[in-house]
Amino acid sequence: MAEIPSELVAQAAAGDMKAFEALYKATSSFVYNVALRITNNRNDADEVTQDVYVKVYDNLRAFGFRSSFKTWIYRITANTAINYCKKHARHIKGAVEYDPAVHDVEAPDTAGASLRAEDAQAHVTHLLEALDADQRACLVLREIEGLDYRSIAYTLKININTVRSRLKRARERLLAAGRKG
Amino acid sequence: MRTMKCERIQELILTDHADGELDEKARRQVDEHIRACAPCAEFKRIADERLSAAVSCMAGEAAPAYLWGRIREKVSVPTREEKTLAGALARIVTRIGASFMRIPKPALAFAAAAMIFMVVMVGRPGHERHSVDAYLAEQMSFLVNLDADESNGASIFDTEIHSGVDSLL
Repeated sequence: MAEIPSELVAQAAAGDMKAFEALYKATSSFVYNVALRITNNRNDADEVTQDVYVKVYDNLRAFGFRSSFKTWIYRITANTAINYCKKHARHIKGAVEYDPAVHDVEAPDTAGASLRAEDAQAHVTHLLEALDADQRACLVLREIEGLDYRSIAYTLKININTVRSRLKRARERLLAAGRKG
Repeated sequence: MRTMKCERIQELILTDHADGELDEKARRQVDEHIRACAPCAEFKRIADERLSAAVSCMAGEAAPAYLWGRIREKVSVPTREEKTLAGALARIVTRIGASFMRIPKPALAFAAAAMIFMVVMVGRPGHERHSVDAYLAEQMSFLVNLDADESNGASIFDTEIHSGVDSLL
């Protein structure tokens, strides 16, 4: 996600709905994608994305540019998604049983690109079910946004060793799930 | 055979080595170990292959189009705070702050310089300042002389015209 101009943030903070819409357009892909990967469910990602932007709108006036807007929205998104998962505990079940029936079905050669893309998405969703929300948050911030360990630690308010151990467990579980698949 | 060192190397393959968090020296040591150790080399090959396949599909999901409409609806409803006078004032202050943010920086700098210049010029002693001082001194002198004239038996209403009338009587 590119840096957001501070003038745009200030205009949105003053209640300019066009500026807020521009902020949304500049950040919504990141917010939705992170919400989707942490909750691992499209309906939940919709809810989390809405919550994130309502929080952003309500707190823009208090934002005060103490950090970059990008860092601020990373933090709100990741924490809103993690808290959502913890509140709706169905997502926190650790390593789920792998269902070979889902993944043994190969896409037919005649299937179009969209079908293959859907299969890929279903595969990712299944792999991410093997992780808990905290592990997913570290993984998506690292893999989608390319944040380094220090930035992930700052965003999630955890120490660097916790980032390291969550990434390690997340990747071990992905490898194990991939092996079964 | 997997040794303690291999365990540590494989941990690094999944974390700091994969994420570019190792310094140059440590990275070179891990690379040398991987080159010399077949099990670790195989572990790295599988990890790279499976993990890159898993994460390659994670990015690129755009937010559904209907979400903006829902969000706009939610944020357009004025909150209880906004309905109060304090909320309205806070909003006005924020608007003023935001309008300053919109002024181009050179224009803002010019306005600030002009304001400083005016303050300095008004504070400096000049001819305007002298004329004000002279007026005040004149007024002070008039007030002081009022008592002096009365003590000499002269009325404050004494004028040359009165004097002239008196002389006619």
